[in-house]
Amino acid sequence: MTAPEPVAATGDSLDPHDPTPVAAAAARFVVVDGVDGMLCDDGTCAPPVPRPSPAER
Amino acid sequence: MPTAPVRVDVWSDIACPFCYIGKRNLEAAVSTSGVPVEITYRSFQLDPDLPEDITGSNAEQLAAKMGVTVERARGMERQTTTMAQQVGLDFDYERMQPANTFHAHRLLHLARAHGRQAELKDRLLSAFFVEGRHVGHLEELADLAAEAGLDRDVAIAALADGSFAAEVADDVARARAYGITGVPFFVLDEKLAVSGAQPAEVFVEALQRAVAEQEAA
Repeated sequence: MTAPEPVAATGDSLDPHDPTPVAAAAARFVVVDGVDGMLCDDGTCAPPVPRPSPAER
Repeated sequence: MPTAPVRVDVWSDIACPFCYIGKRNLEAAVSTSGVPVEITYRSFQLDPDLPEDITGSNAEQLAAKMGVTVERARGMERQTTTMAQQVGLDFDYERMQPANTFHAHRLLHLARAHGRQAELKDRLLSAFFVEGRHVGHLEELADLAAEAGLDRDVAIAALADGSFAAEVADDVARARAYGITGVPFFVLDEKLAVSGAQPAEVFVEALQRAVAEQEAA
């Protein structure tokens, strides 16, 4: 059986049977900058984390 | 040149306060920006191993899961309640009935097939966070489906025969493949992503970037 062709990091189909390797898939989207936290993960919801000021970065 | 609606795939759960808050922020951004969108809600279960019926309060459940005191868990509830109030949502954690959301996700796929997914998603979130209704029991879910404009008999038949379990599993598998570990997670035109219940202005920026990418293509 032939291995699937590698796919580009962005813009691929959201086909559930897409064989994209996990490592490539995690990097496929350009994540728009926002506030850290604000997520529910593993049944818990993280408190928002203030972004550091430019001086603190 | 007019652009196509921006496709927004939203991975989220029902029992997820930030998913409800994020949904409101996205809706505000769509209204503010005027960008046409086509939204699809994808399944993600934060706790797929929860039993159908759970005794005790949400805070007790949360405290046990996280290994913190019930008081600390109540503090987290107060925090999300305050955030929800800022977007016009009146969470009631005292009435909330923790539940496994698998059947609710199956129902959302049925609703999508009938063009009523957005209505049902909102109905489920309000039922869980505001009205204290049980979103794990099939009869209650069928009632909610009817309130969202679906045929109750069609809903109860689909819930009873196990329909759309594969679609739920596909969404969860895709989230895992994409490296999504927390929700809500928004994917725009399969290119841009917004992670978390970001302020509306972040969604506006994302929508405008998606439109700019369409125009540049």
